[in-house]
Amino acid sequence: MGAPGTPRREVVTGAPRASHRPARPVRVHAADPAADPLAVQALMRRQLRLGAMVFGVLAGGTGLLPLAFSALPDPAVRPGSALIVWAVLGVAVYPALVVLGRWYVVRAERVERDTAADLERS
Amino acid sequence: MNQTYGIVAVSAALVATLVIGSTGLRVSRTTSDFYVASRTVPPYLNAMAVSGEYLSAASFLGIAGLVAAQGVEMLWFPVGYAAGYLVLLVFVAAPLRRSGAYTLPDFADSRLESKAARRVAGVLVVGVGWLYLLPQLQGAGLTLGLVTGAPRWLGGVLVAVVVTLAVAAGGMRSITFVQAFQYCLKLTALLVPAVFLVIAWHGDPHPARAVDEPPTFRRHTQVTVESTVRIRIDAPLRAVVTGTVDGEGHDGGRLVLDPGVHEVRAGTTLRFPPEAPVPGREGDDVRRGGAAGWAAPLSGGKDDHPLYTTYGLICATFLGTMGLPHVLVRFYTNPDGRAARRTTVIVLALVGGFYLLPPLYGLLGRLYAPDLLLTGNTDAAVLVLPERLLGGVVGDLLGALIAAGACAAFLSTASGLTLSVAGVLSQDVLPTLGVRRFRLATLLAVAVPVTVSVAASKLPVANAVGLAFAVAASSFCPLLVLGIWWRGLTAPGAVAGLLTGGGSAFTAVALTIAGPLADGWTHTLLAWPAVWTVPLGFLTMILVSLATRDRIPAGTEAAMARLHLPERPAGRGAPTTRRGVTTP
Repeated sequence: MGAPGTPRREVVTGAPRASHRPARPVRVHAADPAADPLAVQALMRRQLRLGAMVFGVLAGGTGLLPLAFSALPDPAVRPGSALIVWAVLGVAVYPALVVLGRWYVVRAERVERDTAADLERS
Repeated sequence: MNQTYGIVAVSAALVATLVIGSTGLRVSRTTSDFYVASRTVPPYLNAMAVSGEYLSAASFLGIAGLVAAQGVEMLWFPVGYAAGYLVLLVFVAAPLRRSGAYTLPDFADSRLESKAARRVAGVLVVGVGWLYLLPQLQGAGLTLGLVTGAPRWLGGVLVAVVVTLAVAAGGMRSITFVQAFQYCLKLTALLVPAVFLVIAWHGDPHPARAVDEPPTFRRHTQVTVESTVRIRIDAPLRAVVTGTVDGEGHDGGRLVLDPGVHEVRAGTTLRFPPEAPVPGREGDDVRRGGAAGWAAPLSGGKDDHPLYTTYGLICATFLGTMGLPHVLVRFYTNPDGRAARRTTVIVLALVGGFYLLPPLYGLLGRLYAPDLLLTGNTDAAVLVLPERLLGGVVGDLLGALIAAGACAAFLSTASGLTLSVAGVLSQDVLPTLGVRRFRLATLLAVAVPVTVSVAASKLPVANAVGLAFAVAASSFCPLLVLGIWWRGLTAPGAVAGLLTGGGSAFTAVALTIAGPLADGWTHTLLAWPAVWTVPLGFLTMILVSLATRDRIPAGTEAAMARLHLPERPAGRGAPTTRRGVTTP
């Protein structure tokens, strides 16, 4: 570890910038001809709509669960409802999350590909 | 628990961590620091590292403990911990990676071009980090106490010392490998014993009985009460008592406890016959009422507003994950925005897979370790189960494996948090601390939570984590979401929102921990603040930004392009994920 050529140890939390330039140049994108603000705006709008949709499904799905559970019969009266809760919260939720996440990634990457193609064409 | 096996297992986990830390370094010399490694870590490895750092003592020990004590309603905790990554994925993951920000203060600084926003974010990172470190140290004390017989506070202090040394010496530099290894260790440490435990249990007693009926002692059980408790008994209960019950001394005498509340002095040993119902603790967070309380699907504890507390929990965990400082750091190590997204999906799968296990331990803990419900030591359920259910050498070995996993759990999260907090402390909070004084900051980063955890050791592990999530959700969630998706955000708006949202959540947390309000709506509102503090944070940020529209940073357009445009057009040139690969 102390061998020659070992890079020097550094603290890498990022130094605070000394001064603020008004507009830092955008890091070079391959398709960055002035990064047409309208294209960026359109991209953002599509991505936000997509994200909000997935979030809506998540919030709607899980948000309604507590209400649905509270409508289940009282476990003291009819045993067994706890097992339903267990099956949903303990098991079924997780694959559903992964599927939802995967679907989002596919869609988001498609949106980005479209935008990149548009930028290239223009 | 066999102490020799336990000590060997915990030491092995420590040594393996250090060895992987240093060999990983040798294998990939060019990745010898975070910064360079950042471009080269493939998604699956990074996802394992994120999961390794994320699954803390609260996940490993706390969830099973809460499920054992309070029932299926507590399954909302792991669901929230996992679902938080979905919210992070859709709103934050890719843009945050593209922003190039390494910490939350970095993000505030580069997006808003404001030193003030940077500093406020820094203070909040430290606060959230400390709140989250607290339960890690308590979990450490609990585990090491069980394994070695050391007093509770000593374990926490010991782990704090180890973490401080490791972080301050820079001995965890190839942290990606270490964290990925620790995920594997944690998963193995729960999965393998779970297989044995389930075989030993083989569905008898039936799970329905386990969740629906009040817990009973299955055989003659001796319980020693460590601190004075008040227990509630519903039917006359026979017990052999050595010690003090209701102010009367007994020495191995038979006693019939009448229905009602009894006080059991610290140090008293009670011996219960088989099939005796487990007495409940009075005035504890555990909601009594036998089966009905345990099987109820809504979060509540002693509160009478279960629906509200469930939504409070959902709100805090869903939105708080994106604001955890140690999670965010790891996202920077993705090669690009697309890889950040893919990493997050893999994290969802890894974390979700892990969370199938702790509730099982909670259920078995209720069946086979019901005395923990009486002593209130339910966080130990995971650790004692192999011994209770299997016994013998197998039980000892599996118990040792679980202890090693628990050790990995609090070590990985604690070192990640310490690194984040120390970084922010030395960069943003204490002015002009150089590299040399980074070590001072590390010391400070650990010293505060250690002191608090020694002083206030009664907070259940997973609850304290819930509070940290609430603060993160009400401050950083608005900052990140609005900063990424709204051009109108201004520095004064961000600062006001951070202070109002985060500040009110902090106040609520402090009042809950200090505990002047024991009951009623006020207590419930303060104990689960996210429902009202998150909208408050968003609203303040938006309104103040609208009022200071002339202060919109000049670089906003450029920043938005940087955050949202893909790094390079897809389908041209080398695949982005393998660009500049230096790891094997």
